Amino acid sequence: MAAGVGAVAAPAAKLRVEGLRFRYRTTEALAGVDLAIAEGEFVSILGPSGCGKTTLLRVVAGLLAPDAGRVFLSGRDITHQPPERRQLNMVFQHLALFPHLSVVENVAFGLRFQGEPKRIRSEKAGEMLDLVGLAGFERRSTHQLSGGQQQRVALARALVTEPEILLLDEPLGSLDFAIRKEMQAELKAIQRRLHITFVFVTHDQTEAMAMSDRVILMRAGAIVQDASPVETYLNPVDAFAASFVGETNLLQGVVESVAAGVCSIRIGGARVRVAAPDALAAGAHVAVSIRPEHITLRRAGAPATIAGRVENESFVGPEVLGEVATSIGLLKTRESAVRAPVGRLGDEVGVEIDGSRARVFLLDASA
Amino acid sequence: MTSVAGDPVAPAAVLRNRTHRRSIARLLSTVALAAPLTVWLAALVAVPLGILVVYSFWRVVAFQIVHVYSLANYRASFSRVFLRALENSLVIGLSTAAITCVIAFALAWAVRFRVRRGKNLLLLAIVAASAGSYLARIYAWRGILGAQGAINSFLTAVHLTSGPLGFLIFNRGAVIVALVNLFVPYAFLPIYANLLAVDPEILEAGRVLGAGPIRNLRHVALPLTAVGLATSFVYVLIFATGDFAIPTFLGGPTGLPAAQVIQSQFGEIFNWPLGAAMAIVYLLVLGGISALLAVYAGRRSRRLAR
Repeated sequence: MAAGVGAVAAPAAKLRVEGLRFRYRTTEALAGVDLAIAEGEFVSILGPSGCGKTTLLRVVAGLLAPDAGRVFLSGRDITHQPPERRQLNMVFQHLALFPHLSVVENVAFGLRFQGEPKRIRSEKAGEMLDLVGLAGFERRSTHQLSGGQQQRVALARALVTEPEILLLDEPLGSLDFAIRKEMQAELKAIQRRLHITFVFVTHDQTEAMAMSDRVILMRAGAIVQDASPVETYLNPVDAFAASFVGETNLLQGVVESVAAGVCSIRIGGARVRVAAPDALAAGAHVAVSIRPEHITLRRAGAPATIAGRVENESFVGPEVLGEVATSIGLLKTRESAVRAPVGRLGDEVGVEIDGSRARVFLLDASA
Repeated sequence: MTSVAGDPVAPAAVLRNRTHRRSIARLLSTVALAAPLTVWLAALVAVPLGILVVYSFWRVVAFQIVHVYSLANYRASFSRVFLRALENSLVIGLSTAAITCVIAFALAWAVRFRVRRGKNLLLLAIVAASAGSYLARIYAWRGILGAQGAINSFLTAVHLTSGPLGFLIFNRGAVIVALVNLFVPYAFLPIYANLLAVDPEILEAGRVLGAGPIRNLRHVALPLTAVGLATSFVYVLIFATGDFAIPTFLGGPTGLPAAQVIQSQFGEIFNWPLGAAMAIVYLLVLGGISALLAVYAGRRSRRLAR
């Protein structure tokens, strides 16, 4: 927590949380979370289940009271305001549409409490249904809609009151793949059009990468990394970040030597030269993250980092995803399907590792 | 179904025929399922009710029932005594039903959304509260509310009052208190079952969308539990209005319940036809109120199921 900030946070942040702590009986769901989100940003909060991301969202919404810390919306301290007083809205995991109300009544629900007369309410609700592509569905019951359509109703209901921020709690989780992709694109388009700040909770890293301006990666109640999707993918801060965002080969090794920003790491029988991070000394135990696309297969006998045998290959259209057994373990590979494959299933191959793209993380002494 | 079952291009006539046969089979199985209850109700409700209707048009002359049809009993049943008793019963029934539903709703709400540990034990305790002798309950309430009862003894002992408070018993209030106590466990179950189907997320959605606790109750929680509430209300209304032992033992001398007036026609007064007419009037009034509530609940549940 910044000293001397007082009751009002920096005006630039639309949403700001400081030192949030929340404890369920035995687990620390939020272990001191600080976060600032700017106006109009699309931010994803990403993490495995139980990492505290939903708890964070619920604290911001006012559905949970934090044990410690503050929440600011547009600079105002809203930590102790009940949910109905906060100028924000939420799309729930199971959508939580009102089964006793029609589609248009669902969407108009929030407007009632803003003191809008009935005519304006249904007018605004109609416009919002138009925006999400549900014009003509006003009188329907929510049971008569498909999953994707219900999703749109939930979104329209949350947007019609013009909230300062919209919180989304894994809203696409229940949709099947094709509709999910379509809704991702649509959510993004609507967010750009309305310029409302979106805070999107998900455990799906491809979803987070595809949609957001910024990815906040959480684990065990704390923020691990807070960066753009590209930055998160290219420069993960630790082994967890590297393995959770995108696919990677995580290998353990020992630093042999460090010289001129390049270090030589011994991983089993192989030696890899990688760009060295700060504070790495010879003898240090490290984890090396090598993305599948940074591995190139060569014909057996050609110069390569290490030898291996193709154990698995699956053709996924533009790419062939493979697994190659080597003396340092099973390595995931990803090769363009345009070129003829170097080795087929069972073939001996050479494995070339592009060390300049690898990332090295110092392992704890305890690990 | 025979060979047509797997035929992908069955002609329309065959399809229609098949649907037709299927709907007949459905109808038959429905009849079979409903038959035992139908026979039971016919034998024990419809037949006696028919006899009651016939009786209500007969007369009593010199302690003999004569089979002369007239509307005289109905005219006679709109007497001051019966109408006041009917009003008294309805006030007791409606108040009891309303208070019971409020208490049962609050209890069901707490068990559903607030209680975390020991929920099953609590449910068991609530169901257990419906056990226990009806008569023992009446005497227990006399022991609590009476002049030498628990409340008055306590108040006198701590010198809050100099003598026993007389208004605690032998009036409509005491009757309602005892009836509410009797019916809360029964009213609890339909409301609780209804609340089980309400996703807490829906209530949270209401809050986040700007409804404070009271408005959320009114616009979200109550509409979603209207069916359970109406069920409990009708149930309690019917039994509380028809009760006559509790009003007799805990009510005042002025608060004669309709059921007792009717019962006395079949007993000491010996005017079965008049009693039958009063019973019919009573049934029509109570049935009318219940039917309105049932229609309301039916509309609600259809809307939810749509």
